[in-house]
Amino acid sequence: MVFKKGRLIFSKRGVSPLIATVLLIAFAVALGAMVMNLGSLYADAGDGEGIQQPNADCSGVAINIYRIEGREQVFYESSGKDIRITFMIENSGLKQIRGVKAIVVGDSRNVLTKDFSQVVDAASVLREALEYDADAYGEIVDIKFIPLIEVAGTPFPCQKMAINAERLPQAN
Amino acid sequence: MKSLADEVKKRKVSGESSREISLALGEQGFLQADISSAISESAGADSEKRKRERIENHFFMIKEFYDRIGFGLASQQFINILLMQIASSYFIVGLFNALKAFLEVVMAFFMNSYMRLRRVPVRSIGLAGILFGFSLIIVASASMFKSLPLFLLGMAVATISVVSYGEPYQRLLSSRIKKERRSYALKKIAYFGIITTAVSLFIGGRIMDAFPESGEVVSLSLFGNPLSFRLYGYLIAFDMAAILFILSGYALSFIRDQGQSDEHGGILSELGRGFKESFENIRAVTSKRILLLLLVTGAVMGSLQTLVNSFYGIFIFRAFFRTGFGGFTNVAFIFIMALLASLLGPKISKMNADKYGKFPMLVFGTLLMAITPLTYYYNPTMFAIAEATLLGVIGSVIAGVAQNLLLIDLAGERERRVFFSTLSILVVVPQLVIVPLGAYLADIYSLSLVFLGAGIAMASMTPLYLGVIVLHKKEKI
Repeated sequence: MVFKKGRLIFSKRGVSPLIATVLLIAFAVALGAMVMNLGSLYADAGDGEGIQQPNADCSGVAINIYRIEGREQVFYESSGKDIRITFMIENSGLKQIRGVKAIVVGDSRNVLTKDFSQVVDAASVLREALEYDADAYGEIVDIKFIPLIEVAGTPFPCQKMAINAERLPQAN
Repeated sequence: MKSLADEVKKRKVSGESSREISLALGEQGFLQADISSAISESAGADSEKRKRERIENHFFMIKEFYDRIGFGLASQQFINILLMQIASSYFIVGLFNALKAFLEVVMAFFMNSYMRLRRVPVRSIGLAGILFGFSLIIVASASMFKSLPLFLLGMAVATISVVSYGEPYQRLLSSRIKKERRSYALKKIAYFGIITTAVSLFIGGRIMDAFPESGEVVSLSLFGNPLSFRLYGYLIAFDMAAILFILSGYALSFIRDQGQSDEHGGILSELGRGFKESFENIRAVTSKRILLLLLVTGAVMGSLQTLVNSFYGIFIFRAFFRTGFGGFTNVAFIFIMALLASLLGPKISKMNADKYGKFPMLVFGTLLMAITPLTYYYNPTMFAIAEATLLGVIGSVIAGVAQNLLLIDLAGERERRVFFSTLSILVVVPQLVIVPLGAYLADIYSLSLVFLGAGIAMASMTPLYLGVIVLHKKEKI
């Protein structure tokens, strides 16, 4: 940039390609970091929809769907309209959890929610089953598990640690 | 008399008025009566041509409009979600998308070879459109009966017919009405078309959410008799799209065929010649290191894009089924953002390519593209995904424009054409490996991990570009 007759004008020489690349990489990384953290401050300690919850410490809480030979242990057995969903959830975090909340969404947009309150230590597995009425809820579209911790004597769902079942195969 | 008519026509084309022509030809010794008759004949032919162009503009516009609505209602993302609901396997969805891309390339190659030999009659183009419409009915019916083979059959017919419809149509349009003679709406179809597709995408999503997969029971009374049946959203949306494509194909039948097809040898020998030429082109393009690098990165990026694009819709549908606008409408919303972003991309890219140089813009575009899959892994919330999609589409347009500008500097016009035709063929090879492999990994591990892997792979193209910049730092590229 140079000053000419009191006016600021831009030099015709641009930045070298290497410097331009470095600048643009830095800009892209900044944009990426911003997008990847977008809304996370707002959602922290919230219910995922922006509603503030009591201050709960979900750090160190993590769950996984238990896998045997690479297969997620979430299955269904059906007899007519009655479906039984069996699942195994592993406490893969550092803390004890007070159970899990299972949310099953049917394609009629009806949702079945059930809490399984049971103490699960770190590196332990919870095995449970859930009865699902296909007539009332429709075909299963999604299954989500949310770890529960105890806050002020009541179970509190750590929404950010929720996991979804990838698939729901039929039990052999 | 014929030479007089030709002379009049020639002078009219060069912009002379009837009076000027009359004076000039009178000076050349032609009889005034002959000149007047030739001028009036020419004027009649002109007005006939204008009338024909007006009618054709009208029908081309109808066709474009119906097509854009149809492509919005039966969006590829909706098709992937329906396939996932039938197949329950990411691998099948991935394999389907890779094979579809392969079939598209093969069909385009075949159509281009065919069009070098023969003119495709307008009626055949219209019929291909009608066939495409019917294939969508097959796809929707397959979803209703949960039949995977029927679904795949419908999509195979759809892919073949859409290429046989699209490629010759573009040639027909440019041969029949020159750009300056097109109506305003037809000239600006790239913009209006995107807006039309965006609106119909939203309507399609709403319809599919209003009538869920298990169907909505509708009860009617017909002549006093109770009648109840189930309505399926995807069936309504896809059937609407099918009707529009059928009407669009029919609209083309109103465009008069011109001239006879010229026969120039057999199609098989032309295909063989095309193959030979393609291999020679590959050898020619790969002999230049910089073009080879652009070719390899372009092919890998194309494959990774196909992989992640196959699953974005499915991920959004499943993760946000209960939130936002509803399963399909959420998908529509995100992809409307993508469509609108594609309008902005070229302007941003051209503005910045001069200031920063083309290679830096290529690197920037590539990194922006990598943000989208990484956001699906790190921050899968609706808002973040919408923003990431916006950036990803702008990035992909920036990378595309930068690549074009770069090729203008690096290669001549013929070489550029060869580059793009080679890229369109070469991209199929990694696509057939990367897409099914990624989908298989999604089945074994998780879809999120595949997004992470794809994002990292896209970002890792950057060092390759950086290497080229360092090698060529003496000249600003």
